[in-house]
Amino acid sequence: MTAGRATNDRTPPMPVEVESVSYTFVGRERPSLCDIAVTLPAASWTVIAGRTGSGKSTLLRALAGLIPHHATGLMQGRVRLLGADTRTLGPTDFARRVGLILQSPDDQLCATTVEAEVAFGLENLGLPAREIGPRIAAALAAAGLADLQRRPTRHLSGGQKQRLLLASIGALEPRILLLDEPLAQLDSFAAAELLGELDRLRRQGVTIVVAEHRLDELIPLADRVLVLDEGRLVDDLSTASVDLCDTLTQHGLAPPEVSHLAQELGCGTARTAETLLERLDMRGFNRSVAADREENKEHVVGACESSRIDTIAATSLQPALQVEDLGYRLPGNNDYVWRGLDFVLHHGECVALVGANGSGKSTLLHLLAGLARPTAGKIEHRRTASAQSKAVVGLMPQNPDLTLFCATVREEIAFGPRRFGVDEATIESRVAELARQYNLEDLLDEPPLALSQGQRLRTAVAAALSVEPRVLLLDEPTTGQDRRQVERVMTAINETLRIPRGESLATGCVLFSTHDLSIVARHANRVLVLDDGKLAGDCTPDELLANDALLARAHLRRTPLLDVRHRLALRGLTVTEIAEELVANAADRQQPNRKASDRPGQGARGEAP
Amino acid sequence: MNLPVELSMTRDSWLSQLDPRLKLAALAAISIIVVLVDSRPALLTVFAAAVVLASGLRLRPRAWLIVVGILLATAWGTVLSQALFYVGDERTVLFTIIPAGELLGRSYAGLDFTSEGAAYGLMQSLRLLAVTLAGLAICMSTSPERLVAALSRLRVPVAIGFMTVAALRFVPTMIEEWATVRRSARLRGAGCRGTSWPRRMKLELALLLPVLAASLRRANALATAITCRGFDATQPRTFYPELRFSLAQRTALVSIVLLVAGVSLVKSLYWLAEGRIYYTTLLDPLYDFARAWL
Repeated sequence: MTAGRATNDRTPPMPVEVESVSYTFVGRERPSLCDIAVTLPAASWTVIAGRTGSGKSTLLRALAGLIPHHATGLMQGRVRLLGADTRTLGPTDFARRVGLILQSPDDQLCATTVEAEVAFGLENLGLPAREIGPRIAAALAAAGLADLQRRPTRHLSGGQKQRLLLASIGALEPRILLLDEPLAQLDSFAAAELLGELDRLRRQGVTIVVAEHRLDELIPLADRVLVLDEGRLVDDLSTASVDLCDTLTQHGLAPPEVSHLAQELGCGTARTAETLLERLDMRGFNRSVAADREENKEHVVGACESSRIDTIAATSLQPALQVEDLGYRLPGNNDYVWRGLDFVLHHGECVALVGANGSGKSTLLHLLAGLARPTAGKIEHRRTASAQSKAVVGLMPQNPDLTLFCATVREEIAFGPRRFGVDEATIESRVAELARQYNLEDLLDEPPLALSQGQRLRTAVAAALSVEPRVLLLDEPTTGQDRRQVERVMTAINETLRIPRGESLATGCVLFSTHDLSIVARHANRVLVLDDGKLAGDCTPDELLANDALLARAHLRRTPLLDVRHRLALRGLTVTEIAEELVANAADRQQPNRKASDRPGQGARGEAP
Repeated sequence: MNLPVELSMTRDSWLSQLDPRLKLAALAAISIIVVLVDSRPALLTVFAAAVVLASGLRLRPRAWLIVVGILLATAWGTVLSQALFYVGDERTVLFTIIPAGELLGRSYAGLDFTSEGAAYGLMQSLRLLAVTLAGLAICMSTSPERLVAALSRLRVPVAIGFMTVAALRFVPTMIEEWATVRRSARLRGAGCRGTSWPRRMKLELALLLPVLAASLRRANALATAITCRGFDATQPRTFYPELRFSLAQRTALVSIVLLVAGVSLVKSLYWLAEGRIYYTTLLDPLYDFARAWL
């Protein structure tokens, strides 16, 4: 017994031990966490996956020790961090050992300069100033921010702010790092930098726990996935598990596309594009496609254009908004955010606006919405002869909550039409139609701000569309939403655009900013790329996907699925489309006389079974 | 609306290098002295001291124009109100805005612009401007973190200092959000003609709701974040970099304290004599000095 105890004493405690934890918020009948039990070893990387509202953030708060100390609900069970019980020690006691990063970096920065931000936590720990200086320097150097030590935090880009937060917490030398949707507001480059930094910390022994919707980028680095559904831990599996896709799909989550594709083609598991390509090669798919590659490449752009711009053709490319030589600089600043922008938005178009964090996407949308005045050039709104709507522009800002001010969802949607003098019968039918399209039928009498994040987004979009604006501006509508939610909203918007109104088929156009290349590829028919203070590209999504230089300028990287698509010169955009295309191409190799036009994916997208 | 943020600590100057405790002492001194003194030379001297402090701000010309414009508007408002409503015994009317007369059988006083009132207003505005200018100079030349550190060393609770700093940091964000909410609402027809004033007011109040909701969410996120980074207002903390007085600054601080103490003493003795509470011929030169210069 003595020897055994001595051995146990030498064994370091597990970083995270969760024992039968349940948590119920005050005023709620159902628990937000229900009987969670999990143990996370040192230097592990765990992803918490789950739909919006499944309890991911609540679990992270429990792991950080905020629950039960900074929460008013009822907690049962026990969380031990590095052997210490969170019921006896509070989050400030864990500050040296546990770091928590929330979704929006802007809301978490409390100092005015980079140096002061990193110093903040160290000052709280009571470290003497002579120790703080070197720690700041080391943390900033590790995060690649050494040159920005004196810079005001508000002058940093979104990616830099996220890295600064990581540096601020890294300076405290935590053993456990908890992150709540850290990639939500980052472009692909910034996300890759952040993930690289997290990987470095993991290799140093830090236990990483990330709650995130962007599984495609995380799964290749993580080694474990916890799936939450309605507060319950419904699955706990390795990222290398063959059941990963099925499990995620079963719980209503979009699995990593490349893993899903590998599974669809019977190629086992694959977490990266390279692995999948190797597997495809082994199974013969790659060879068959490679033979057709050059032939296919010539058709890719044309085919996608023809399939995506059907709405434009239907409205004969009537201009909705024209921008001429537009330039803008912030008050008191001599440098232009961008200048010399020239483009026209046409009725029926769904245009993606892409660019690095800080490239001025939101600024451009705000200018188009009239929130700010251009420093140079002009914005001209075109009214078509058939346009009946009085509304010119609809705006959904990055935070859709800022557009919700009515007492109920019904009033929110009816507000605009009522203000524009639309008759009550029309308003009623419009509210019913939008509620159906945006899945809000059961929520019409609920207060908008009390809804879930996804429901609030859908309400905001429905309210913006209720006035039938000629131009709908969406500022990063994908932020903080799970992929299925985003797909649903973007599909509904495209559907709304196609509704016949009067004599015209489509009277509106959409301009949305995003960092999500999948959304661009699937829902946009045109892309505007902002970089280095000017319009660096105006092209179709496929032209962007095929252009490495332009992608780099937009700070975008192909997702693993789009990478496979690009490298094999395929046309499909979804896992199903690509799988069918690969199977059909393989079959074609065996039936050389089959016409190219008979192949799935050659016609309009979405026709493939 | 970004002006104060744009100005603060963007460019180093002698003022931004000063220990914030010295600057706070200077501000306190100016605030006390402008209340104690009445003479024009003394008030002008205090105002000049505030101008010297403000000269340590390296503002862009446009920013200076805005600052000077605000100060002149404040001064003009004070002068005008005093010139019109001065109630002293001596009143020299420079011009009449509303002549005295009779309405419905009742006589009413006129509204005159008086020179004594204008002079009195000018003195009052010098007091106001001196304190405003000094306060502006100190706020704009000191980072909020340094200000909190200084306040903490002056025994002001960290929680109060930190809350003030956090609130100030988010003011521009709230203003931007407020503009976004209003613009979004206008795009949905909120600014249409024919809306009655009561309905407009009701709408304006409703538009505050999303801003307040966003502020609450932000406050919650910030509180969570700083708690997890070890912030506890009840616990002692250190500050980086440490506040240290140089010899020159220490001398300046002592001088400021002595100056305030001296002015207070002289003025107190003068008031005691004026009130016939305490008088001695030994202090006659002091009384004369106070009468002439303070």
